[in-house]
Amino acid sequence: MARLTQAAGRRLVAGVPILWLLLLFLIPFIIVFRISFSEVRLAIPPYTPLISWRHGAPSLELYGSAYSFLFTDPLYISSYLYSLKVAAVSTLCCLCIGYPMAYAIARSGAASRPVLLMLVVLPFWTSFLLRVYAWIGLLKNTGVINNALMYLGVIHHPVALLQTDFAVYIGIVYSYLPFMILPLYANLEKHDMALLEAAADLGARPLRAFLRITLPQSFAGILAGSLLVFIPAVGEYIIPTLLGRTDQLMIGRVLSDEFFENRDWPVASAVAILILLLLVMPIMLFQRLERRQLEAVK
Amino acid sequence: MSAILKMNAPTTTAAADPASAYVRIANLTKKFGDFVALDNVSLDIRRGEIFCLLGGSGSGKTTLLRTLAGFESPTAGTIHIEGADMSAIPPYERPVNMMFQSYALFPHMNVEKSEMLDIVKMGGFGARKPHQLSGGQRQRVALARALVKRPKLLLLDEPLAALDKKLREHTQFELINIQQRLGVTFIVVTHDQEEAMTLGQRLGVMNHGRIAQVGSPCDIYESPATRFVADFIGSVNMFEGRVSEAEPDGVRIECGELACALRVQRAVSCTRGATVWTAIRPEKINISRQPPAQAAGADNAVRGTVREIAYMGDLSIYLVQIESGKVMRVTLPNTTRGAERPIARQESVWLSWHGSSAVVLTE
Amino acid sequence: MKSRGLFARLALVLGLVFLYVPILSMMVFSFNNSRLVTVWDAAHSPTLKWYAALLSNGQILGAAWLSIRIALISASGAVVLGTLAGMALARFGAFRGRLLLAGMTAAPIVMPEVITGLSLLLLFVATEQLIGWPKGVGAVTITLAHITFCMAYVTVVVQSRLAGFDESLEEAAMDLGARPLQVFLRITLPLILPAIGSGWLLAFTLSWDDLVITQFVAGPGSSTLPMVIFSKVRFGVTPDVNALATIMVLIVATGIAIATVWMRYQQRRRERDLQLAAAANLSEPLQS
Repeated sequence: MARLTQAAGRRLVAGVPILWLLLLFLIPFIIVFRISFSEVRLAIPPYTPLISWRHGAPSLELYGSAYSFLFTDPLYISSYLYSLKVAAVSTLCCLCIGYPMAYAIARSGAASRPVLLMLVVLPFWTSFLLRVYAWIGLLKNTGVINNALMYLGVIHHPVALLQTDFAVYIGIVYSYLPFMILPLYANLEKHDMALLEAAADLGARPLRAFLRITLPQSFAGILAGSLLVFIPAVGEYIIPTLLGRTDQLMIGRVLSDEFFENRDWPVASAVAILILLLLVMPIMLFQRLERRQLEAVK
Repeated sequence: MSAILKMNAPTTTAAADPASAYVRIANLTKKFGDFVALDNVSLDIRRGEIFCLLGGSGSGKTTLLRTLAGFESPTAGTIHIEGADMSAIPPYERPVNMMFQSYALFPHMNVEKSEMLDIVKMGGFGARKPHQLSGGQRQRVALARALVKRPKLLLLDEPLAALDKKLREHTQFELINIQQRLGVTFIVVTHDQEEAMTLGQRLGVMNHGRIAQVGSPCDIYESPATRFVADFIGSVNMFEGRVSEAEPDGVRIECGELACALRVQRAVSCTRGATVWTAIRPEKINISRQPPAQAAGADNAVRGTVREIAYMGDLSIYLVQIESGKVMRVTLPNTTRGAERPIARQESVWLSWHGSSAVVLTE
Repeated sequence: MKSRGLFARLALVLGLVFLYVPILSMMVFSFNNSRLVTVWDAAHSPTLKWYAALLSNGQILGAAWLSIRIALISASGAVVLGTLAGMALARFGAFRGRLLLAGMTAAPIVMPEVITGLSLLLLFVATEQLIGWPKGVGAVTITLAHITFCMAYVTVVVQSRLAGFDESLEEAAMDLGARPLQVFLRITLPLILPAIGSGWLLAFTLSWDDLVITQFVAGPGSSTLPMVIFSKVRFGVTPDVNALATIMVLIVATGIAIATVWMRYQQRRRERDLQLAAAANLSEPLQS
């Protein structure tokens, strides 16, 4: 009897969140998938139904037009490629800036470590939107950077910084840097310093010891940090909208525009499905890393 | 493996009537996926005894303990405590308590007052929180907590593993003391054979999810049932051979690894020509420069050369290479201080043993 | 070894400068008199006029109030669901639906927000068609969406806390006679309370801050603060947003400062306890 109630309790504990996520996470994706195979029409809702009644019999209506549209109009292909490029370059920059920072924190004294970590995380707790906005004030033609450079005499005319690829890289690196540093720090902090001492003892110079020992050992941290930056950066919407070019959109913006401006729900859904297809490998890789890390805690 | 370890051997053994088994484990099997943690284990525990489950990691001893506590439900088989089937009883209703290897003291609670604290000599520590206690004190509190509900059966998972060597020895005797005062039945899981032999009135040696042998410490050490048990408990010299002659008071064994004939003076149930293993404990072997009394070429005596000597203080270990090339391990107590002419490395010596010292194993 | 340590330390300093300069410049220019945001009007600055303008801006105050209410409800809902999911993942071993739950709680964390937003809106449109609910999108749909993506974070926090402490604590309680619900209330809950607290704060911040998902599932009349800010800054810089940013940074900094002092206090108490335990070790009753 007691066993039975315990089993029922467990079913309830696991069942409630599963049910919630089924309803508000999984089913929505199925709907997106299904609408991506519809055609746009002037109605409410603005797409063709999955099943229609013709001559008294139900018939399945599946259209591939949204997808063929994506592959024929070069706008979409170039947006995809541009998003991948921006995400990749930003991730690499994050890694180059974040790795030495994480390394320095991991090797600093036990007392200063929490303070430094807090300094890295603190901006994350303030508004994402406002932090991106701050860069408008810095980057625009009459902004702080141009003013300073002109005051110093380095340049005589303002340099266009805003609405460039550079501005987008800066925005993404700035906003996502903590996501790179934290997993790297968690990894580097656990390293056994005796290994480096052993390497030094065997005659390895510091750079060689770093390349042969520290770097390979921190691979999991590099991968986790890179995925945490790359995946959301591909679909990034706010940063390119506020800081980026107007002649070349990122795919997240294209999706939003298709939906809100053109009211073409099937194409917006098809764009979403293709982003997911692109990201399914990195997302699964990330989940595997997460699981392994949780098991390691055990 | 000195004599002091056996001082706790039972002097008055309870009647081994299987019908009066206090805890009866019958055909218990536990699988985790494909892994068989317990493989058809049957075991009876008597009322009021200290029973030690001894085995290496992954031998299934902890799984058996957790199944008794009710944290794991068996794949097959039953557990009866005082005749009552435990299958449907959840952990919080079993007459069983457990002392955890990690102690599992609730970090956010006080120790609180209880008469059991006095029994473990921790009376004044009721207001402390676990992290305000030393390792030895935590161990006592964990024991007291496990005894508070006056369980009929106490399960102890590596109760002394986290203590340092000195404290561990002291606590072993204290555990026995407490057990005898309260009359609770103890089942202790340990990987430490000295601890098992000190604590346990009976031992169960586990291997690959099965019980390899059950018996008193003396039984298990002196009469191991299998090669695994002989090798697992203490150290042993083992020779493969063939039964050449069955005599009324023992057997003769032809053994290629040994340059002499083996004569074992023990009742052995095996047929002529059967393959058997002979186990001889290192401390049962004599080492001498002169041929032993039974003379050269006789039974149970071989020549060899000393290859290594390890001085351990109370005893010395000699590694002697016999003529077949096999190395035998011999230990001798250092009974006198500074022997006149100690045996040295590379010296040629005779090894000999009494016919009743060897054990013949068939599996 | 020295030179590499120096390089890393230099990178750390520069990195922190990079992280804080934009925030500081926003704070400085919030006291600037000029409308031109980035040109310092030395004659009339510093001034608090943008703060005054902000506090009399009904639209921003209304949006902030809506955002706070949504964040409070979302964080609380996410904590309940996330704790349940974290418990199930960390403690139930292999159960049916485990893989599904693990996947569904991990995915929203990395999922591009535009996709989550689009899919949730399409869900609400579909349910309205099918069962007549919800009647249009608004605060309710925003809250539902926020609970969904926030609970994923709470799950991770709670799950790793549970994985970090010994499961035998709960077994010991059960061994001593506590029923599962009692075990949860008296042992598990007190132990994961810090994780639940930080999970709640994280969920609150995420909900308060979210723009992209919110834009999809919001309707007319349900503009949250990030939506109002976005529509203001999209077409140029406005000084009162600087003032708003400064206030938010100050609130967060104050909160973090209080938390740090509190943690320091706890740390010192723990160290005292350790000394006590060490002293107890010396007087161990060895020869009793």
